[in-house]
Amino acid sequence: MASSSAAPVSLLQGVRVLSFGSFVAGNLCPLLLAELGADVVKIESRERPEALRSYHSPDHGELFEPSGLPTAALYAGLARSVRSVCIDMRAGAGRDTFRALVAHADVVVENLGPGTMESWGCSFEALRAHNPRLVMLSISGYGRSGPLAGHRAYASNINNHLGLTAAWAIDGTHFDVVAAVHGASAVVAGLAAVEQGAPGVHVDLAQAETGAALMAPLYLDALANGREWEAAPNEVPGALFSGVVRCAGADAWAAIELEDARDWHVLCEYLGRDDLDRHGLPVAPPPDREALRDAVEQWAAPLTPLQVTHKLQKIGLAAAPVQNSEDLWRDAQHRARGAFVEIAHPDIGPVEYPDTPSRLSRTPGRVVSRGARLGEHTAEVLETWLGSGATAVRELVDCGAIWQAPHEE
Amino acid sequence: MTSRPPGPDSRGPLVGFRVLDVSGRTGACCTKILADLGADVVKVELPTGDRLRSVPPYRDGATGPEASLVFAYYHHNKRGITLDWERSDAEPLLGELASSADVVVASPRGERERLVGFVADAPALSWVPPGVLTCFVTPFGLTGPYREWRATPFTSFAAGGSMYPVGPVEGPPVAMPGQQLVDEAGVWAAFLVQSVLRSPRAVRGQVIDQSVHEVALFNKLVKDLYDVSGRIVTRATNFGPPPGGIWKCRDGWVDVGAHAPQHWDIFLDVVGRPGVLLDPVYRERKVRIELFDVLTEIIAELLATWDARRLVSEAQAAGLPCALMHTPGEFVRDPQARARGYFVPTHREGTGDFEIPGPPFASSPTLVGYQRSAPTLGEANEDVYVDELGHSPEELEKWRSDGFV
Repeated sequence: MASSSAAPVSLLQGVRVLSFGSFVAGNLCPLLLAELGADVVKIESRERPEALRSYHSPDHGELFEPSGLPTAALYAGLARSVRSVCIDMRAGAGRDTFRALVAHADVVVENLGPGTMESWGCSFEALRAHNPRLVMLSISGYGRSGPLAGHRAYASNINNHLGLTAAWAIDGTHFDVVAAVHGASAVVAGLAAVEQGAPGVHVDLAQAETGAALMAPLYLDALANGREWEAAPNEVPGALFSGVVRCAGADAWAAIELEDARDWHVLCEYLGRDDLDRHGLPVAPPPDREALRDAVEQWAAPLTPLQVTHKLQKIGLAAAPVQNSEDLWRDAQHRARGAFVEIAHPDIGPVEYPDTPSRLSRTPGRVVSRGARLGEHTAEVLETWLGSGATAVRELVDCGAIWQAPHEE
Repeated sequence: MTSRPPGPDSRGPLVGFRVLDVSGRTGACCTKILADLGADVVKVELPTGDRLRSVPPYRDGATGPEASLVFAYYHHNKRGITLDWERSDAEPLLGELASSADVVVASPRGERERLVGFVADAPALSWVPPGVLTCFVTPFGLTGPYREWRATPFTSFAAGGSMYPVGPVEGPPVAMPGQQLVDEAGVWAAFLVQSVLRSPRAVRGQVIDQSVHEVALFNKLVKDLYDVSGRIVTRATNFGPPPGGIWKCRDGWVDVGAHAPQHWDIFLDVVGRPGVLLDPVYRERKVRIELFDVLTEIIAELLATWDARRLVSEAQAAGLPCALMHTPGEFVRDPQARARGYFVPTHREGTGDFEIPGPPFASSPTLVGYQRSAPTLGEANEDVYVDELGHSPEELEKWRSDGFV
């Protein structure tokens, strides 16, 4: 644990994390910790590697590791910056190895589904016997208690449960990354609590609850006034005007919001539409939103989304191009700030991924390593964390408790 | 203020830390998380009141600066003072406030209001003393060509890349309601602030440049790998593939998530292995993507006669991730959140008694506490300016009459 007076190179240097996290939330939470300096070890088994390694992607053809195991660019991006250890938790010696690692760790992350850790004799209480300062993060869809405690969930399920799908659209997903960021925040809060004397911390993180905390504005009318959320698409409650207007180009759009009467006045003046302005009148008439929408659409039609944005930003209004994934990839702001990082991978090739958004002036976050091959670091971690010699590792490999990927490029 | 060991009445790991919040809407979620974890967050509003005070919904029958439920939610657990931080003569007082804090959270770009003392080239705040952490949360970050752009949660979402593929095929694209993307950047910033606060004091004096736009990029392209595929996901892109997707049952909608290889077979078991779906080639996710339309038609017909609750219960029992589609109002009444005591009460002038969404995570021991409801405008002015900073009541009165606080 970082506690010396010298400034660490990375904020979470010295923090050791063991992760059974899978899919988006389960991989990204440890990734956030790793890219702030934590030493993160992802645990899988040779028999059941993470499903994302073999997740069919329309983005590229079949890719394989030297061991013959499938791999994918998506997986390598989500599991970058962490090391890979293979342990068979069904074997007694495998569970013993895991518990020995726990004694040398600070954090365990898991989203295995209800009862799995317990079935291995690795509940929080059991693990705390090996490490009284343990912080354990259990991520689930709905939490470890309540009528839905046993329910499995992906991000789209959470969107539907929370009412986001009903209020927005059927094809949005969102809450997996949100859960990962909240999870990282909870882990650091837990580490601080343990340093202050807490007897270990077990975090019961429900994706639904992390999402609901961010969706609060959609619930408040129901909670206080018993009224259901109601807003037309792209209507921002409280704004004088909000909308998405068609611009020049194929499927080209810009979003504009006028927050208050001052913004409304500025736009009317700019468009030369004094007839729609309400500024300076003794009694302001209700805003004629439809007339303003027509005027804005007419003005924007020959302009590109970026032109619309530039012109409105020059007069101090909030506007932005509606960007697709290609726009994002060549976004001038992202390029200027170096928001991408190219990661070379021997089985996948070089791929540009979003770099970590953790920008700190003295202790910046950074990508530590490419996505690991399965079991690439098994022997290395056992040697450095436990001091296991080559013979001890060999014995565990021979009895099938652990697996080490062959060393080859 | 220095961090002190937690006393017997402490509730969270950040008890003993003080946060000065001169951010607008962009930083509100970040400081709420820090407040919920025990930090003493002093929110500095312009004398005219924070913008969120004029954002609906309001409490039925209430008007004025205390009526917004949105303000009441985002500022729960914070104290509140006022100061015209756009005025240049506010710098010394901001300096005094910052000297009493461990962290300053600010959004000096992206909103219309302009915070005094912002040094764009650094970036930094001139009035923050060495050794105090500065956390900037802004729509685009403080460098780069878009750094001056004004944004709202709506326009940030448009720029962020997740709006374009949502909505009717012919357009327009549809934004996610609320300010969730902005708040996600706030959670990220709170993660970084906490990480700094538990590190040696030597690294405390630094600057965080948290960009909503970069969090949006991370969200989007970490999953949608444009660099690999050159593929643009459009509003016509098929999701799924079946049986993943949203299905209309007899009495409601059910969302099925079927991303793992075993889910196809589990689904077949749940629906009674109908002959029309038994061709083994359907086991391949790749095949199901190619046959999206055919499979969707077959499955939609199959599930139309199901009772939605029964489908969820039987599919979950078999191991298939799925959920009922709720409206936001249905969610707040849902037995799951209720059984976990998720919503917490708040009571304050203007908004009265109501419940707000509670801690984003549960834990043992509890790390998140709820102690005070959101402040009325300028509620802590006397506590902070007179009792804590030592200014005279006459001085405070003069600032008030000048419209300074």
